[in-house]
Amino acid sequence: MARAQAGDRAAYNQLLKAMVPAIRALVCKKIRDEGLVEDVIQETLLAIHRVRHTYDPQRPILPWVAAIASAWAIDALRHRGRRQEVQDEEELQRQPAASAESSADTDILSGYLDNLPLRQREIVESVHLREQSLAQAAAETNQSLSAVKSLLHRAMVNLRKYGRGHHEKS
Amino acid sequence: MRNHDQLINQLSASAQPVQRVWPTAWRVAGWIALALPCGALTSWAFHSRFTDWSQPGAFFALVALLLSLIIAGSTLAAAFTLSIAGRKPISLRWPLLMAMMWLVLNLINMSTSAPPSGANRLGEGMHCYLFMLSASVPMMLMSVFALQRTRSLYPARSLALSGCGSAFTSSMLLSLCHDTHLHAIDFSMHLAAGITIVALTVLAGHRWVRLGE
Repeated sequence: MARAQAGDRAAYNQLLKAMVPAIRALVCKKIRDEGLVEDVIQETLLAIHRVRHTYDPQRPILPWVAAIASAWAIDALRHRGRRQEVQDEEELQRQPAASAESSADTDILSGYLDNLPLRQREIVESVHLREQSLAQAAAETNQSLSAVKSLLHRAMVNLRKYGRGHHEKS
Repeated sequence: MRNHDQLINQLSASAQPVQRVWPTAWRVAGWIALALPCGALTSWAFHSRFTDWSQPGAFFALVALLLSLIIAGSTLAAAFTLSIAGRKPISLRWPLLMAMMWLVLNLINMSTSAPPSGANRLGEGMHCYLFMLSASVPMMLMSVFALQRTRSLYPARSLALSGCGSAFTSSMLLSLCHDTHLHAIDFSMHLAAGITIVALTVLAGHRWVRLGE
């Protein structure tokens, strides 16, 4: 880690890859949902990257990593608890989109997406169509996780509005 | 099991050399060294006189001043330590015990010596309130800046602790230009200012200090 802090990218790459099994083991103790575990691992990796300057090489690394992973796991569980009702609603909204896709009605879907600003569209495509995690979408678009969440939320609101308007017209 | 190699490759490709954070003791010393003159400057408009240390109650006031400095240092050290993942801050028992001693000393100072007659206590209390708030403005900014550098997994707790540090440091500055004797209304305004400072620090800094942002 000391080499990574000094800017050695190869050492940093090797270290992060070596950390993943340890993070997974720590997160799995708190979370059973596999998808959520992988999301927490990614968020933990992003958090480690953001605060890598706070690690003191004279101290063991595991408590530092464990504290970050544990905090993210608890945060993820808390968010999931809070969003349970919202998720149910989103699930209902996702179903018509999925059935539209399965019936090859991609024109309607792209018509919906065309109405979104470019950044919102990119995030929707990345998370909902390419099934990337929020953390992956954040890394891919060079944005913070909260910015991605906010864009996704605004995109959903816009799609809902557009869908309502479209439905009323037809 | 998902593969995180793509993300790791992106993160490591963008990794630049970073400057490690200073040890906590240095950070606290730096904070206090900068906060005292900045606080004195921003509260200069409310500065009317220097404390007359020959007044009755001066001994208790002086001990309370020293305790304020120690409590401020301890709570700041706890805030900075807590903000770094995996570190356990010092037990808050000692700062709490010292805060109790500080409270008792001030209560003794309120009850022993007679207050000067004819003073407008509410007006003076408000003056002290404004003094503490104006003195703490740069301290709050410094706290948020210092914690923003490390981010915190527990932003509310870190900010509340650093807010306590700011409140006790501004209380210490106030002791340097205040009667050694305290009046109940006056002291309650000091406490109200302390609570306001802690609340403002938490509210103002939460967004900047959270690790998730």
